Amino acid sequence: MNYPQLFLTTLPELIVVLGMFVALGFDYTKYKELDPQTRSNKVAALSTIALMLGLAGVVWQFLQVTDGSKTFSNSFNGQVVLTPLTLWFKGLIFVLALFVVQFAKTDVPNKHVSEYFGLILLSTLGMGFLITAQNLIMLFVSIELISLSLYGLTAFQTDKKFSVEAGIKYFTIGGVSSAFLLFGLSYLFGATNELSFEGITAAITSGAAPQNYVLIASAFLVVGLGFKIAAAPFHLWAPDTYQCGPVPVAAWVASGSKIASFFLLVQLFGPVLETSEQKETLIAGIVLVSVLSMVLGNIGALRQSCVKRLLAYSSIAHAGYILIGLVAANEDGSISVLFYAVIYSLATLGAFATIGIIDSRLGREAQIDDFNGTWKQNPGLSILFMIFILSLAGIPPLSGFFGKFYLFMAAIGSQPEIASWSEGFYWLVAVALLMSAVSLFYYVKVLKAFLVSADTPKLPSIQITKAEGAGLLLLAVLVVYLGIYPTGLVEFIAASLG
Amino acid sequence: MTVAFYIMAAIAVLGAVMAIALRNVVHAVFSVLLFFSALAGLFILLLAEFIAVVQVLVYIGSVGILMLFAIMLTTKVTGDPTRKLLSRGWAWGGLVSGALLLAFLVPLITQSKSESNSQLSNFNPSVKDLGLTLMDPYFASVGVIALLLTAGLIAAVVAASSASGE
Repeated sequence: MNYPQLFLTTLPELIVVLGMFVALGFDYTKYKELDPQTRSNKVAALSTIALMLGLAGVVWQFLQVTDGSKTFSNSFNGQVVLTPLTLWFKGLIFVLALFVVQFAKTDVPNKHVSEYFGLILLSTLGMGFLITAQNLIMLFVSIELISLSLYGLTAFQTDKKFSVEAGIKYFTIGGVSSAFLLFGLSYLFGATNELSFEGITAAITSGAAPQNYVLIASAFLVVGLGFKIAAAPFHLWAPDTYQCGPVPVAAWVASGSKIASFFLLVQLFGPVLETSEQKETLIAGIVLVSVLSMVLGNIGALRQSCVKRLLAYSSIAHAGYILIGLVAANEDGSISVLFYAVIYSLATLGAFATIGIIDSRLGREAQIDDFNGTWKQNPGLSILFMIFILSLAGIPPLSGFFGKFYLFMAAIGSQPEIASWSEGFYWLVAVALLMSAVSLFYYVKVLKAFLVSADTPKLPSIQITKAEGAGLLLLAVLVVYLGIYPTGLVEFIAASLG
Repeated sequence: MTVAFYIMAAIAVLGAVMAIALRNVVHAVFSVLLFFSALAGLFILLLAEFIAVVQVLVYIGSVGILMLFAIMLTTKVTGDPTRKLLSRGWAWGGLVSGALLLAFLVPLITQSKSESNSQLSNFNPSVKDLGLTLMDPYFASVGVIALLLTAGLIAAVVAASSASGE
């Protein structure tokens, strides 16, 4: 083991860990007597600095790797693989974590301020490790790091019954899903006798691995990862977790952990789906999960009055859309999955953050009715929220439209030689389009309350902090920018995947 | 070997079922310990002596004793006899799991007998090798496990200190 090399490879993570311990240390000693809000601001500032330094480390690594210098050629048997693509996504995770910290600092659930930010930072590190992991051991360990931090964060409001209940539900179901995942991984190892993705792919393509073992392993992996991305029928934890946990945490579960999980799905299943002899069985399974997610997610969202729960069901539906790109089982599919994961996360983070701001000022969970006439008092916030929701609904020219477009085109284009509409994935795309139309109903219902309703506004004029305002604005700009100019990111992903 | 495996597996399943089904918490803990010991036996059958020793030391030794201590400090040992232990729809759950087991695992087990196991030939389960493997090629993963334990610790601190009402 080359320890100096390992030090440089994990430098961003080490900086963030150091920052976390500094924040914990200051919070336990020097800030002990201060009131929670001041402490929260100070700890958030420390966390922000740590994340920014970490991000600088990632950018430095990115520049080194794109320069073609051999600084990070050692991947430690696939445990930490630094390529332009993994580093870009790790950087994105760090940026999203920066947003989450800004949104979290105004409304810390209780007096455990530094623990709150510490767990957010630890889950960020887990997501970063998961993205760079191409080794089964590292994969499982980083998934557990993400999950454990998020369980803790969901149950953070220990004085609120529903938060604890959501945390326990998430914990129990997440534990079962981890067991499925580990079982699948152990079969994958048993079949291929390899731990690194590279070796596994080679063993599967060369036919050395027994096919039935690979199929069983993949089935268990679909179940285990299906829980993590909240795809139906493994979605039961999602509505409660999103509704009852602290709102920034819900935003983080819906954005950061989704990106990391989909990145893993592409890395793990991309090669298996392109080559394996059992491809058709596996694709049939994923299609089933995808259709169920789209139907259950969108139908479930129709009857929700709590906005957070509505967004939870919509996230289940979005997991279904993204799986369509995986079904395509080619490079276009992988590109579209990664692209959609990015833009979905940006939009959902923005939407949750807006709801979080409104919730904290309202002092309770916001129902759709509470938004009536918000535009009169808070025009800026309403317009930003409209951008996020319309992007989720997939309205052009926002990025959600192009994301869905790429997903559907990848699925249709994967079988160019089919003769009639009943073959291939035309029917799947048709279901997805139909369900997108259904989803418009509930998205527009929320927007109607925000923008059109003539009722007198229930919400007073909301003062948002500079950090929150800047975060929301930046997210909205990114959502619009990636809609107007999606080719830059798509071409980057395509070039780095190839 | 095979007979020993089935005996151990049967004891493990029995212990696990009893841990859920018994109403007296002390009895349940002892059933869990029975399950742990059977598991240690299974690890020995798999030639994983180190994991078997860890199983005995950590789970039977510390975790079991810890649970007994925790029970000692509580007043109520027997659960509410009026409440049903089985939830609604347990039969469906059992049916589905049984069907999955039959559909997935049984064909696999029957098919796998002929395949030679290449791993067993170069399998050298010494504690020294295990330590070297963990600390040398897999050092990065062990580092992430350290973070994982930190996260667990922080979450436990939050959960425990608020529950005490302080």
